[in-house]
Amino acid sequence: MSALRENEIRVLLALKEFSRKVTLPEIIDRTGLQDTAVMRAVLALSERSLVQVHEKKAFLVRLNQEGISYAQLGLPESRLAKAVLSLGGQASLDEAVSKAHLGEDTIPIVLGWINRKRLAEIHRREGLIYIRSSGRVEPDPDEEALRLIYEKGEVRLEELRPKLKDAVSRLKGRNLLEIFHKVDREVELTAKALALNELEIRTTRSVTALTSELITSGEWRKVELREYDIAASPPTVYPGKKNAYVEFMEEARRILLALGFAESEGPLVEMEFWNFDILFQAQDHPAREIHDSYVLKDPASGHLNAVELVERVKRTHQNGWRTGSTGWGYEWNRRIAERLILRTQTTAVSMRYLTSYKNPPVKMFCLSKVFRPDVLDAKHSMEFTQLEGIVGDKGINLRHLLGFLERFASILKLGEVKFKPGYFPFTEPSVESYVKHPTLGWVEFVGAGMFRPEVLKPLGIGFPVIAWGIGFDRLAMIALGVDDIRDLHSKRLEWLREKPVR
Amino acid sequence: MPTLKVGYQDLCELLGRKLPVELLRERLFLMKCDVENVSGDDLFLEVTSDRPDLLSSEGIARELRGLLDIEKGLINYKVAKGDLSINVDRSIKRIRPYIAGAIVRGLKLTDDSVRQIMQLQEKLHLTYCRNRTKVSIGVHDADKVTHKLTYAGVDPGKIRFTPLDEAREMNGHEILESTSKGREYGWIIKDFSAYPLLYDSEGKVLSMPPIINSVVTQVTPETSNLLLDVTGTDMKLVNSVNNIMVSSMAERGGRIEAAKIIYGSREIRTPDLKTSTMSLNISFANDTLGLNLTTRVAAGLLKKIRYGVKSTSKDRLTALVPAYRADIMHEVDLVEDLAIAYGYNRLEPTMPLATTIGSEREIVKLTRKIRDLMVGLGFVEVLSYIMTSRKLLFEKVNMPAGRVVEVTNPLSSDFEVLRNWILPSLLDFLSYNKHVPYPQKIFECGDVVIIDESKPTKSVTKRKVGAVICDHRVSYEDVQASLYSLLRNGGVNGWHLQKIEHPSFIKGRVAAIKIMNEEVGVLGEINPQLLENFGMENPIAAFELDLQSAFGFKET
Repeated sequence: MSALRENEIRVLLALKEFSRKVTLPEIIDRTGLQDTAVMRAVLALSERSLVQVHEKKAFLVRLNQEGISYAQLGLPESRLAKAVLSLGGQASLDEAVSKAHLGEDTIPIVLGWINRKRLAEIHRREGLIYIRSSGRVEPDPDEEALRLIYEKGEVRLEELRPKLKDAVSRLKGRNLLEIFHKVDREVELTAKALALNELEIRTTRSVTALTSELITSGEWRKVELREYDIAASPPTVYPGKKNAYVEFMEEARRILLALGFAESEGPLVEMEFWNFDILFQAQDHPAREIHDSYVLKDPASGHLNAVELVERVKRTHQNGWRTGSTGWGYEWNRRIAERLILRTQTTAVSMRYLTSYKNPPVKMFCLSKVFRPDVLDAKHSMEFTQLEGIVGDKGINLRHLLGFLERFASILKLGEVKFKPGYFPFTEPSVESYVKHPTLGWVEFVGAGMFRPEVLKPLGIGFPVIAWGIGFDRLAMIALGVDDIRDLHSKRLEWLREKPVR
Repeated sequence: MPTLKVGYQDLCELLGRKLPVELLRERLFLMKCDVENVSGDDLFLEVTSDRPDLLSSEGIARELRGLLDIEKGLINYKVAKGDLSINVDRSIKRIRPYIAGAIVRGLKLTDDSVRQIMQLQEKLHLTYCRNRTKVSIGVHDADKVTHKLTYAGVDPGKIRFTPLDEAREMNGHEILESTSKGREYGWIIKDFSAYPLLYDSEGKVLSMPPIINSVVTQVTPETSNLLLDVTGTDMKLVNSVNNIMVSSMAERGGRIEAAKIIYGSREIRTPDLKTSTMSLNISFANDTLGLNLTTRVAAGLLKKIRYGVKSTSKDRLTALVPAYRADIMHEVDLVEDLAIAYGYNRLEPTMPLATTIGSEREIVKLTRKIRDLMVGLGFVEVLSYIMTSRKLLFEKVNMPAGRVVEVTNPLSSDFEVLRNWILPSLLDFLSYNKHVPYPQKIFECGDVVIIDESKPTKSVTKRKVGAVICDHRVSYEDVQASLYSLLRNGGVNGWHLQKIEHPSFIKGRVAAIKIMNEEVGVLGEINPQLLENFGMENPIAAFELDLQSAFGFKET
């Protein structure tokens, strides 16, 4: 005989001890094994003709939610009858119903059962219904059955007295309980098994787990290590995992660091001065209106302390100051410049950076959040990420800007690039660059340009600066194969768990 | 960016050349214009917002003729002396003080020309005129009124005329209340005691700027002469819009007659189509573009963009800027036009050579380290928005309402404030994943914003790490174990916990994490009240740490 598994041995030995037909729960109790383990062992033993399994069909009765509540409170018809008794043996329907705490909607059914079970007499007088009870309420087999099932949790139908069986079928009709079909199995040793003695059973065991005990005792030599179903599905393991979008940002950072850029950052809550004024965006520029910027209610305004810079910016707006520009020709207002908003462009960060790094060459990038009023949907978001970069150096020019953008697109494997004239209030010349996407066609990739003299001169920057800003979310959507912008901030744990790592 | 509809045949006629659509598309791409779509004869174009003169097929054709070498240099639009005069009454001074005008005769009103005039007017209103607040334009049949006009502020109760598209006479108030244009633009003048009104010497009303024209001067297929009124709050802008309008009409053969504008004792004539000048340093242009243009070549290129050029010296030239160009503020604007005339497609890209060493921010390095450790501890990284709701930050997590950065103009109550801590975002995340296999362990390294009156921007951004564990059984100890491991491996030594009370956590199962007596974070088991608020069926334990103060470094 080939080796028996550990569990099979335990079941076999238990059956020998019983030496009679036993149920599965009895085996579970005796062996201390899990029910699925016992089931598997019994099945295996039956295949080896060591045990015989006898199946017996049974019906289990269980209460549903309403049945449970009736078991606790009593059936409504007997509650009503008892209420009438406690009201002196006669009462109007309204009084009795209220005394018994019954719902209006149950009344017709309750009256039906009162009649059928003869619990009381029902009279109609002057359009009103009265109930009269003749004496004490007899014990109701329906209630008896309810309470019995309630106490046991579930009962076998065949174990009930005939009177209660009838009650169960009535309660079933009232939809107070459920009847389940169940197969009971009893297990019995075959003649073949009875012929085996304990030693024979024990010496042919095989083991599943190779334990430290087996190894150190040398016992492993005597046992057979069971062969596994090597293709069976293992339980699913979910690893700790980085967020794909954050990792894409890290990838962009690595590229820019390799290209010699320093990362910088500024406040998310920003004064309009750094977000607009210093960028030569006039104070009545449409981008500064509430359709395009989140204006703060609290805190509402900040404090500008770069006195000289502020004065130069003011004059540049008003009459061009010494920048060679005509300026916008309006009265500049400091209070507007001090208004606080949620940063709408990371160019604010470039400006802050240029106030402290004035010696060429200057190479900086910022990869961070900006905000613009929008309703969150598949294509729009009120909060998104921009990748902004500047290169400032003596002799730097528009062709360098194009060269950088072309190189950057090729590092990101974005394919063919083309350039067209664009417009941004703070750059001149300005460029828009498009990349050719295999399925989407020409996609706008970046807005760029050379900072205007009206921007650089007030900062005291004496060399040209090229700048570019990428809508990083769109780039990420292309790279990560996502077509709903909300998925970059996905709330679906399953998706995060299952998404392959790039 | 504004979008336009232009007829392909019409554009070719204005160009004087039949250009295949594909070629047209390529040429426009190299201007500040782009073909978005083609449908039958219609081209849908996008124009950048700095070029109001390109908001009609006439303007686009004018520019294209130069770029295609069909016709170069400055166009001299003739302005004849006409009989139109507009007397500007003192009563308008505080309301909408400036007006310009013109009469354009002999313009053939075809479907295309009418469509383009109306479109130019509408697009100018929308963009350059800031939705009629700064400037507005009226176009009239010149032959329906006398040419002695008055522009005045009039008591709205005394205004009486039948507005365009209306069946009856109305007063000023009624116009604001019951016409669609009145409801749309009424707010611009509503608060004044007098409304702007333009009327002729016989008392016939032409328009009530910036709201609506009168039915009297309605332009019909029989109209042969047009009268323009352009009113506004900025004289420069008013004139510039008038110039753009008449220049476009002149492109279709319209003959311009000037209007005499009388401001008390001062008289001016509009339109004034005299060029302005802008000097260009050729070395500056070459340095900016990375080119080596001679002055002569540069002059030729500027003429392609329809500038006039004069007094060419060796390294400098003077550009004569057409009156319809409203965007030239600095010589760098000429430089960009040089680049456009040269062709962005012909500019050879070259890599900048500046050698620099890249540098990371300390907080970025630290964040990377913490993310690595959290992933090693089995947590999945999530990313949530910094914008959130008061409800999530306070109500749902049992916290008393407090001060957080708040916007005046939220489009949704889900996004009205900036979060000041991270755990609410994570609890919200879990509430969307109730039926996903447990245990759920998630974390986020993200920014929060705290109000700080001592800072110039009255606030400070802080980087936090938040982590939560949710399972059928989970306890304080589970999250404490992860936290301790994170702190140890993050190089922190000597932290201690202090018992605190925190409404989001269970009493007696929450602690402040302290390092050298500075509170750097919180950990604990989430209060079942919160679980109920979020509809959670399993317990949650959580911690949140401030990266900078917990892992102590100084940002350089």
